[in-house]
Amino acid sequence: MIDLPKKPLPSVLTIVGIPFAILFSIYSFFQIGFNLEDFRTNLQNRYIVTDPLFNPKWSWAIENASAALVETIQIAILASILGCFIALPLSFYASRATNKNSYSYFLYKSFLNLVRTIPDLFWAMMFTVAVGLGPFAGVLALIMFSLAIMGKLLSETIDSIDPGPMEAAKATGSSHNQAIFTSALPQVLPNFTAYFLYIFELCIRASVILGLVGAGGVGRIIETQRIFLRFDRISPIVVLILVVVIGIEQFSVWLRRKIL
Amino acid sequence: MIKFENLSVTYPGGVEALKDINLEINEGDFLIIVGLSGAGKSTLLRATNNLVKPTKGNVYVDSKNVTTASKKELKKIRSDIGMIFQTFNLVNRSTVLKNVLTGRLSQISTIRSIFGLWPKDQKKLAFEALNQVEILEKAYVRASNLSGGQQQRVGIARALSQKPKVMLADEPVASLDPITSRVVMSYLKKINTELGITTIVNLHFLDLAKEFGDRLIGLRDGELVYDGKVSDVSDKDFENIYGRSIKSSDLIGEDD
Repeated sequence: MIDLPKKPLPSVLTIVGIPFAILFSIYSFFQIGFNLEDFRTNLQNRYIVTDPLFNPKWSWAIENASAALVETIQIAILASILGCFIALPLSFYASRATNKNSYSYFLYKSFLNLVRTIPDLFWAMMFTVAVGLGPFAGVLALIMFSLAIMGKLLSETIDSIDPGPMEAAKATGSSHNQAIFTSALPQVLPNFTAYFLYIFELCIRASVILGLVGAGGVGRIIETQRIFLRFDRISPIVVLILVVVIGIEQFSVWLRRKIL
Repeated sequence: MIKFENLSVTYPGGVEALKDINLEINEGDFLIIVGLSGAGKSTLLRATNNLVKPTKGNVYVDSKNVTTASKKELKKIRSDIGMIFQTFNLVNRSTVLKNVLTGRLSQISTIRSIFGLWPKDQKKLAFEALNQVEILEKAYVRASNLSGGQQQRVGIARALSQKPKVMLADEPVASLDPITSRVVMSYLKKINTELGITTIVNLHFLDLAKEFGDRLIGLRDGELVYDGKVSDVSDKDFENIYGRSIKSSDLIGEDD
């Protein structure tokens, strides 16, 4: 019989962590009021919720929500394009590979982190105060949203580029910005395109709910109808959104495959 | 043409890459630097165009002080110095032509380079450079679609398009096979003799050094330990530069 090595004891983190996680989950379960019974009682009020939900007023939805739905898509397109292109130069300043100045690197990186910690709906609320209710506030909010995600993803991609071509460009006597444009940018362009399409999809989904805080789009109509409990009008709108979102996502997937 | 004066380079972290180098290189020279990896060959080359900043001492190119040059002066000096690299350093996704045009960046405005608005005469120089290394027909091919030897020729064309007075080659054949290595070395030699461009080449293959060089410099641990004509170098000298006996891996071998 060989001498087996002693099996190490589980770490303190495991001994303390797992029971804590279990107990906290149980506590939260009761604290939150997690109760599937609620579904049953609510669904029994079929005149208010279930019946109208399954009797959608299609003509009303198409007549009244189409324009808002188009507006939603317009917000998403405009915001993702502007946000991503603003993020493009910022990303090069927020990467160690293309910005050797520690102070400005830190400044740009912190700015992008700050923008990212603020949720999109919060941006939307702030911009409705700044520029008034309507789709313009929504566009501004989603610009910040796109900019933050693109800045994060792209600057981290730039961190890992091959520095060789940049060095070669510098050695020919080109300026720093010229070296970035001709030697660093082409290396991350495929990533930029992929991230852009991804962010565009996120924006489409995010712009649907912008209306909840009055920042334009189809969300505004859902919000008003929800207040009046007109679920017969909401359900067709939700279906319409679903069709549009899935359609655009499929288009984006197709485009990505085509380009990359 | 090029003068190193008490040149020392110490990297952050304390590695002394070069120790008090004094060296003068004449116009039209074809100089080969040999030494083990880590001996300071790359550092010496990069100190020539200030890609590496000297800790002490001065570097002069064409009687201009590179070390004390302002940003603007440095760009001007660099535009007269072509450089080619071990890993070619091409932008793989860009076309051969775009890569070669990099050599002309210092001559056009940033705005023009961002939008790729190249004046005709600038493009002409790029095409001429490609023609000199006989790869003109690949001008619109993506750099990544070329073989290693072809990529290095594009690297040479990029440097040539600068119309340089000095050519620096940092281990230009280290990633190539023996046959392609000799082709690339022949181009460098041809450029040196026909255009009179002062050329410095880092090599670690001793037989290639003997075959192509005129003058040979030996570096060991950042110190200059040999300076003389290639024809005078003995195996003993090589052993002194390398600090050990010569192995078969120090030779590129014959084509076969």
